[in-house]
Amino acid sequence: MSNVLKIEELNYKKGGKKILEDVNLKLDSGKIIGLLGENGAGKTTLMRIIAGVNSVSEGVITVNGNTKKILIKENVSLSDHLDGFKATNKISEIVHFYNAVYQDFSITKYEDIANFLGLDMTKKLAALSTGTRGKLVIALTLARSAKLYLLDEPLSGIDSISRKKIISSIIRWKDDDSTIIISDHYVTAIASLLDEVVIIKNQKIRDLIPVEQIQSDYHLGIEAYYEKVYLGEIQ
Amino acid sequence: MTRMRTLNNQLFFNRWKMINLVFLINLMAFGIVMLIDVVSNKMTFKLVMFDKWYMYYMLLTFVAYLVTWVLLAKDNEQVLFSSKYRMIPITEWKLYLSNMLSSLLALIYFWFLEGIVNTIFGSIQANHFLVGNALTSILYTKAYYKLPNVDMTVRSFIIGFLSITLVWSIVTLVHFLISLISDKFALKKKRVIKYVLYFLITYICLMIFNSTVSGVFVLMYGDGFNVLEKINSMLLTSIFIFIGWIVVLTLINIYLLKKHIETDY
Repeated sequence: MSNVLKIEELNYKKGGKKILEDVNLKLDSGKIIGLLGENGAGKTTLMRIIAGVNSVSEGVITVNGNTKKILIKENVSLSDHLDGFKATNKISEIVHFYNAVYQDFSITKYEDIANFLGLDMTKKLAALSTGTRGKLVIALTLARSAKLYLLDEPLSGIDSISRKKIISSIIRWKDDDSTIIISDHYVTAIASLLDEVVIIKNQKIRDLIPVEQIQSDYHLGIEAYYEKVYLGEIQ
Repeated sequence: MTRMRTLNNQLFFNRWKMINLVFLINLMAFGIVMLIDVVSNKMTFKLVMFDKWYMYYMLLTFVAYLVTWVLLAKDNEQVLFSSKYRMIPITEWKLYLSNMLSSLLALIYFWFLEGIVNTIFGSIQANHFLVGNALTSILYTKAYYKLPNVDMTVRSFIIGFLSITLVWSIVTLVHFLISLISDKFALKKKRVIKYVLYFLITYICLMIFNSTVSGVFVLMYGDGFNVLEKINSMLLTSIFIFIGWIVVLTLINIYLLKKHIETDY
């Protein structure tokens, strides 16, 4: 199994404050990985750095063997919260934009996911509830054929029915050789999806551990393990 | 990799819609002004009213032009600071150039729309004079349509175009530097410091620009320029100075965009 993502000696500061420190990480392809950490731990920042949206001052990011930013962007599909679109934009216009600017965007795949999630193309962005907006973000992100999908808190503020739908769509439309990183601080919501867990604590990657190992070595669920790591009960 | 043309089309389409809206509001405002004028003249219609209306139209167009300029500058900045565009697999220099190019095309489109209305007014005015006094009108229309100096007109137009590009480039540089400084240092009272920085950077840019331009002109035209040819060649020199500054600022902006500038949302 090859490394889809390799991060070496990454340091990141913003506003004079350290956000990420000495981050080293290697992830194999084909897995669903949970990026866990409390609010402000640096999960979103790490995802944005990987996607090439934030600049790297120190460290090397390699995605699918590429270190060039433009090639990384071709290989990574980051869930964008659609803040750059106008509230008056219809879903159809947003889909048209994605289809035009991303060569790997598949309209057929989008329509399949959108039908499954019950998205209406004629609706305007302003008229969407948090749940429907979350579904749209997932549909747009997964409709690209990328090697690495970065889903930044895809279930945040979403009701349980929509949450289940989103989780089902992630499982259903994930290619075998693609990797998905999901960040969240509500661990229970995504626990059922995960193959591996990465925990960020105090600006550093505290742990990269397979879910099976958590169960076999610690006899714990993901959430309990995560809490024990955060409380310092597991070193 | 996303093609520059594809991105350009997307950016231009958004701005095209914006320009149409501004133009429509401009025409509606003009219609209201005309209506008020007709009503206040007890519903009588006189040919001479066209001159006044044309003046109103020019005034409204000037306001619409300023609004368009500001909206395009704002849109330019939003693109460079938005994940919507920064996530796209395209190089920073292509993103920057597409952004600037589509704004300039949108501005040309605005000029084109206003040009159509101006031509309509021009033709109505010419006919109006023919009705009034044949001799005066022939002299007037000839003078009206006679271009004083084609070279000078073209060069002035190019300078106008380049100066807009230059100001947009300066606005981007100022925005980039403010963002860079805010990102690198933990600033308290961010808003106040941002305004101070805005003032300082604008002042420094203007000082450098002013001293370069005046230095070049003093060297070249130290003996004064009251002859038409000299004005013409001054315009040509200005074009080269403007192009030079635009190239320098563009290179700095692309470097900052590539290495340091992150998205706001």
